[in-house]
Amino acid sequence: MSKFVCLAMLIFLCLMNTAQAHRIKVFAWVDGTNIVGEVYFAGGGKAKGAKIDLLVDKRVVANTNTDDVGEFSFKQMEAGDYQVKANAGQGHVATFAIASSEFPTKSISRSDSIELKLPELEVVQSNHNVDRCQILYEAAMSKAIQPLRNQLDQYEANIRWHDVLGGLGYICGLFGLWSLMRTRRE
Amino acid sequence: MHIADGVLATPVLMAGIAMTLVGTAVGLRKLDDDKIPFAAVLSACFFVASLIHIPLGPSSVHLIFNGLIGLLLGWLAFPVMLIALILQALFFGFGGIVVLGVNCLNIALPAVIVGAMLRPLRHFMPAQLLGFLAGSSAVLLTGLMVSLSLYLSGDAFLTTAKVVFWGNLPLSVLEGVISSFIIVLLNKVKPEMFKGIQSNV
Repeated sequence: MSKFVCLAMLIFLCLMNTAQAHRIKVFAWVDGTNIVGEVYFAGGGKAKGAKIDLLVDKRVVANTNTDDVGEFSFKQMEAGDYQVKANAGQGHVATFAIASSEFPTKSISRSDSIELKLPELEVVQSNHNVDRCQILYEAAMSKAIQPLRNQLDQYEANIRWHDVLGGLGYICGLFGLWSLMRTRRE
Repeated sequence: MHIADGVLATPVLMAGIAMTLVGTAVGLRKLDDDKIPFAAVLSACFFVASLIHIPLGPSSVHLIFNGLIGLLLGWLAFPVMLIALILQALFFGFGGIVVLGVNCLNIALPAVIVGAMLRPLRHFMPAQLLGFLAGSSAVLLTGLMVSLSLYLSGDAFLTTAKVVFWGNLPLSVLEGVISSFIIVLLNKVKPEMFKGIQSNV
C-alpha cells in the first residue's frame, strides 16, 4: 500500500514541474570585440550576481559579475582562446570555451555596432571593399545564428521525460538485480 | 546540494569517496530482502525530487527528502542516495562525477544522523512534528556540510555558510512540511512500517 502512496506522490511531483533542473550553465559569444554571455539555471531562472572569470590557459585575465538578468560582458578583448568560468556559489560552477576563430578575422574600426548596407554589397570593386564586405558578412552571420546557438545550448540542458523514466528504470533494475543476487546466495 | 566538478580540493574529494564507500558498505549489509522494494521506491523519490526547483534569490533550491529517507531507512540512505546521485550526474549533469563521494556524504550522512536521533523519540511526539523535524533538520545539516566541504577547499566559510543557510532555510521549512505530510500519511496507511511510530492523536 505504501508503495502506491509513494508512487502516487512521485507522479504528482513529476506533474508539478517537468523541465526544471538544478545545474547552472554559462553561454558566451563574441560580439565585435566584446565577449558577452549569460548564466542561467538549466530549465529556467537566471543566475544573478554570479562570479565570472575569464581565463587564458588556466590564468585569470579578467573577472566580473552577472547583472540582474544574469548577463555579463567583457569589453574590448583581443582575439584568442578563452575559457569563461561562472561560479554561482554553493558549488555551482560551469565553464564555456570561446575559440579564437569566433573573433572577426579582420578588425574594423567601429566593430561594436555593425550595420549591413546592402547597396555597398553590390558595388564592391576594390580590395578594401571586398575585405570590408567579408567582415560585415561574417558579423551578420554570427549575429543571425546567435539566437539559434543559444537555444541549442538551452535545449541540450533541458531535462527530458525519457531521461527521467530511464533513470527510474535503472533504479528498479539495480534493486531487482541486488535482490536476485541475494536469493542466489541463499 | 550538488557540487560540480572542479570546485573541491583533492583531499576533500578523497575523504568524501572513502566515507561514502564505508557508508554504502554498512548500508548494503543492512539491506534485508523485505526492505529492498521500499528502498528502491525511496531512491526513485529522491531521484525525481531534485527535478523540482524553486528559484530563490540569486540561486535556486530543490527538495531532497533526506530527512524522510533517514527516518525510514537509517544507514540504507547511503546506497539509496548513491544510486540516485549517480543517475542524476549521468543523465542531467547535476553535480560532477568525481565529487559523487562528497555529494553523497553531504546528503546521506545528515539522513543517517537525523534518523538515528529521531527514531528513539518517535513514541514521544506526534507524527506531524516528527516528520517536520526530520525534514527540516536534515536539510540544514546538509547545507552545513556543503559549506564545510567548500570551506575545506578554500572558500571563506562564514560567507558561504551564511548564503547556504539563508538559501536553505525556506527549503528546510518546505521540506519539513512535506515530510510531515508524508509521515502522517504513511502512519495512517501502514503503521507497522515504523515499527510503532505513533501519533498521539
